[in-house]
Amino acid sequence: MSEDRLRELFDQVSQLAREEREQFLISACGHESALMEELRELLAADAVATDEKFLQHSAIHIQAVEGQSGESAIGETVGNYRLVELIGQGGMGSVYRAVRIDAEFEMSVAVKLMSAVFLSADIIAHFRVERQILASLEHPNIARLLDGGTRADGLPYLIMEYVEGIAPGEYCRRHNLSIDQRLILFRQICSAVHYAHQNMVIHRDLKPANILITSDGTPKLLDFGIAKVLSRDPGRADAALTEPGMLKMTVRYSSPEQVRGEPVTTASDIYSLGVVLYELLTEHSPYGDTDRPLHQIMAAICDEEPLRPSSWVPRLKGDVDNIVLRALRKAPLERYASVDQFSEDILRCHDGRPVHARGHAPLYLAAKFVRRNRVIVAAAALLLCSMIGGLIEVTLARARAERRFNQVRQLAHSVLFDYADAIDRLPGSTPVRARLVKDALTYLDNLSKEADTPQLRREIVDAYVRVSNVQGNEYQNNLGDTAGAMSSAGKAASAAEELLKVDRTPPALASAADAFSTYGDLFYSSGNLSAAGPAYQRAIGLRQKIAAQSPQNIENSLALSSSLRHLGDLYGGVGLQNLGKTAESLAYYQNAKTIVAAASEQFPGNTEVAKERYETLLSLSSAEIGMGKHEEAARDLGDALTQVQKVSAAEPGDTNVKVELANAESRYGQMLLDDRDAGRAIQHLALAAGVLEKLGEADPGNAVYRRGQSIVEAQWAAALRGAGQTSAGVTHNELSLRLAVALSHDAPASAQYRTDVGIAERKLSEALLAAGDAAGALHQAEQAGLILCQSEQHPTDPYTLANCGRSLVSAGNAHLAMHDADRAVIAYRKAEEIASQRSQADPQNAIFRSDWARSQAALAGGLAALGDSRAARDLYQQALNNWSILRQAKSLTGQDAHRSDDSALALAKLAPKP
Amino acid sequence: MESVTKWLELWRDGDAEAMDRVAALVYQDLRRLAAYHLRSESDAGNLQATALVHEVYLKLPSLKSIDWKGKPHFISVVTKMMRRILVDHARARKAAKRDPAMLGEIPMIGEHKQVDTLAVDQALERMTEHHPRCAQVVELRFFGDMDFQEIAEILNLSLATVERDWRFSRAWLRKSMAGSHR
Repeated sequence: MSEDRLRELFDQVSQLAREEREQFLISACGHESALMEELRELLAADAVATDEKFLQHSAIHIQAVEGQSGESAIGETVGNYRLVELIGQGGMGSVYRAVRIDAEFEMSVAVKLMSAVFLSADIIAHFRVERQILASLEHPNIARLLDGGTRADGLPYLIMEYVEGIAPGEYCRRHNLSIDQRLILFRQICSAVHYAHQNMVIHRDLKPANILITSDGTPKLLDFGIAKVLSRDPGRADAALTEPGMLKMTVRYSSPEQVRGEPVTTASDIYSLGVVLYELLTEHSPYGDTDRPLHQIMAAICDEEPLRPSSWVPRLKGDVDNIVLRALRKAPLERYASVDQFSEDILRCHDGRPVHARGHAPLYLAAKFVRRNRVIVAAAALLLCSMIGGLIEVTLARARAERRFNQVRQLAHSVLFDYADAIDRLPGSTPVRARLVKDALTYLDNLSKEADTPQLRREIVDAYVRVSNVQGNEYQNNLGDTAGAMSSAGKAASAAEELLKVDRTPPALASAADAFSTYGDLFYSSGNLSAAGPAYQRAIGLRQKIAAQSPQNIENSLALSSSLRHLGDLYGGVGLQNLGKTAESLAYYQNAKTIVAAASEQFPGNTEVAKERYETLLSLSSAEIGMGKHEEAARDLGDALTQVQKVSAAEPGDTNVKVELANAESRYGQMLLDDRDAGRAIQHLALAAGVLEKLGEADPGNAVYRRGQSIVEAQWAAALRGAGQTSAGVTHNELSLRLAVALSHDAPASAQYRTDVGIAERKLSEALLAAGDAAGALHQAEQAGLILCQSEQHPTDPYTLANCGRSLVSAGNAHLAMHDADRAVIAYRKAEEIASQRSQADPQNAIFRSDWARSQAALAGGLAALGDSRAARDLYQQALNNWSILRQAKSLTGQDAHRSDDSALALAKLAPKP
Repeated sequence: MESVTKWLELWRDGDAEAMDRVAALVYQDLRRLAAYHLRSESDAGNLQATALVHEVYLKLPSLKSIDWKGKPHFISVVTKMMRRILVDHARARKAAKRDPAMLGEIPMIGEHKQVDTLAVDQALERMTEHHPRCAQVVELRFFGDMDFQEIAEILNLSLATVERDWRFSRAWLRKSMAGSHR
């Protein structure tokens, strides 16, 4: 009998209706009775198999189901509990209801016994660690992990809060909940997940089977983080890379990244919550028929856009559609940034407010994500970060073992550059970047030991520069870690020297220039002004070399302009520590302005160019004010403000632009204040303070915002005082001081921040005096002097010295108000000495000359109070001379003009009696 | 998995021994994965089980970069390994059931009868002699948890052919296992 023939006939006959088969067999088989018998038996077996659903399930399914049957442990004791009832078969084994042995009343707990089969020693060990973390989760909507331990046979168990309840879908149906009621229920679930995320725990297995609703309507989440306990296998180096999280995950609620075996983040929980919400609202799966074969469901999760919820329930059209679909985005970064935000949007929808999810077209670039999401929860971001840290660690370990250097390099590069860039402009991102820095430094130090090609050396230079900037470059958003930044910048500079020995191509020159300019920035901000200049000059030299080779290189033009600008800051930056050479400073700024103006003509629509342009204009205008060039300053500052406002409107999510907006508004306000237009000044200053305060709230660790706000609050205070609102002024001065003190406390290595505290104290002193509190004013002025006048040992820092002089004037004013003219004169005299030295060393600096005139007038007032009219007259005359020089140079501010008039009046009163 | 990739490349380049090395490596992995899946929750049992095989493929991303001609071969090798693991597992379970001291009385959940994995394995062995292609289809379906479409792709057959093979095989096996094995 031919098997082929048997097969052929079976195929034909099995297609026929039963009543036709016999006829077919007779005509086809003829006299081959064995064949006919065989076919008959096969047809009978076919019928039985169909009835029995024979082989409908695969072997692994059968064994998985059989595996559910474990031994019954009822009556046994586990810890202090006696197992009384089997309540379920969980992923890890069996779950029992249990009661305390020693308790008088019967309070139930749930005891999970892990099954013996296939449990590795690694998993048991890991389980113990994770247990501690899970036990710390305490939330009304999370079933508490009470205890855990190991039974005599070495198998672990968990003791959890016993929850009696039903699945959410069932609960909604039974109580016939409205859409609104379902949303409220869901938000409670969100609050539990959000709480866990804040505690660095990702659920990983959110699904209705893990959510129970108790009889009073309280949702309780079960098995938090258990999926991780089970899926982590620390014995495998690549465990963290692939996160076999889908092992225990019911695929229907898995996120695309889980299906693909990619790392699991808080965004994965958000996705699963999205599926839960979808089903709660529509009673359908987002991916259609749940009976679809698994590979189709998996493919659908990864590639298919889910049907809008409103296609099941038309009422959901609009906001609910948008909210649910936002949570179900394929790309984790496109979903809500946090569960809290998800929940908040539901609330907004409920209240009829506009929701975040509305109207966002799919954006696939991280950079755009950054612009769109205004708030990110730091905890969620940190989780993301620890994941990246883990990636680096694991990959490094593997790479060392396998010498697969390039892969690490690539990973490190993309984490440090792409990722750090993406989050740089996101509010609230500072803690994330701190973590990135820590991880980055670890691998960089390792990597640099093995650097042997120019390409790798260059990457190392770039990486150290990046790390240094994030740590503490005051020109950028930073963590306020000046000492750490200095160390990284030093490493960058030495790496750059090494690089230049072997590679002098434009990219190498550019990397080295970056390193030197960063080093310059750090010298500058740590108060080492003499070292900063050569570093900047070195960077500028390299940049000019590149510019000579490729004048069209826009990046180089911008970097060159920026370095020139920083050099300008160093020589005479207003409001900054500087070398007291205002004329040189102005020249550097103008040089920068020329370069960036050319770039702007070349690339008129380029935002980066526009940004460099307004920064240059801002610095230039300040220098011009310092040089008394008021018309030029007003023009450049006005131009700058217009530019910033434009860029800010075009990029409302860019926090760096927001800082510049605040800066420009504040400077414009200060200019108005100097011209005694306090009313208009208040408007601009209040705007600036508001912008900075908001930025600071979103990112409390960011030093730039806090420093900016401190400065602006003081300006605002002065404007209020100018407008006659004395007590309001004091309040703002006090806030300014608080901010400055906090900043200096966090970064004690920064000379700038220390000076800021002194200045804030001095300004508070002035405010208190104006408010009539002379004793308070004296105290603050003396505090200011303690900080500011210490710097006398550093004669290279005229700005701090000038502030020392001003604090002495403030102290003198307080003494005078308390009728202690002797002490007032001592203070004024010292102030006058300092101011005269400053001004004579930098005669073109209008601010120093103005200081000098003011200290002379103050001293004159003190001497007059002591009765020394002759000396007083001399000094008033000298002060008037200085103001007159300023007037001739068109450098006299409105306030100084006012002071000058006052002095002239005082002089007239002191005129010797005929 | 890196070393698996390397061996797969060698294998593609004609090193027959490499396949054995791959098999040894993958086998360890499969055992571990099976361990997870075999203690899955009952409501998810089906999905979990199917996920196992898919996960094996997902965990071998290098497969994508491997010459397509080698892929069906590789999958059939993996399926054979799956079969070995599942049969071993069933045998161990049977032994445990016979020894009450080990696990005690085991209450079955649900009353539906299940096919004996060991019996299918033995019947399939006999079928291979007479209908080797059908046996392959059954192996992929029953031990590999593949659907017809996937099997058609792997064996380079039409979907209709695979479905006909399955119907015949199911009848053949049912007949062969009649009596004692159910």
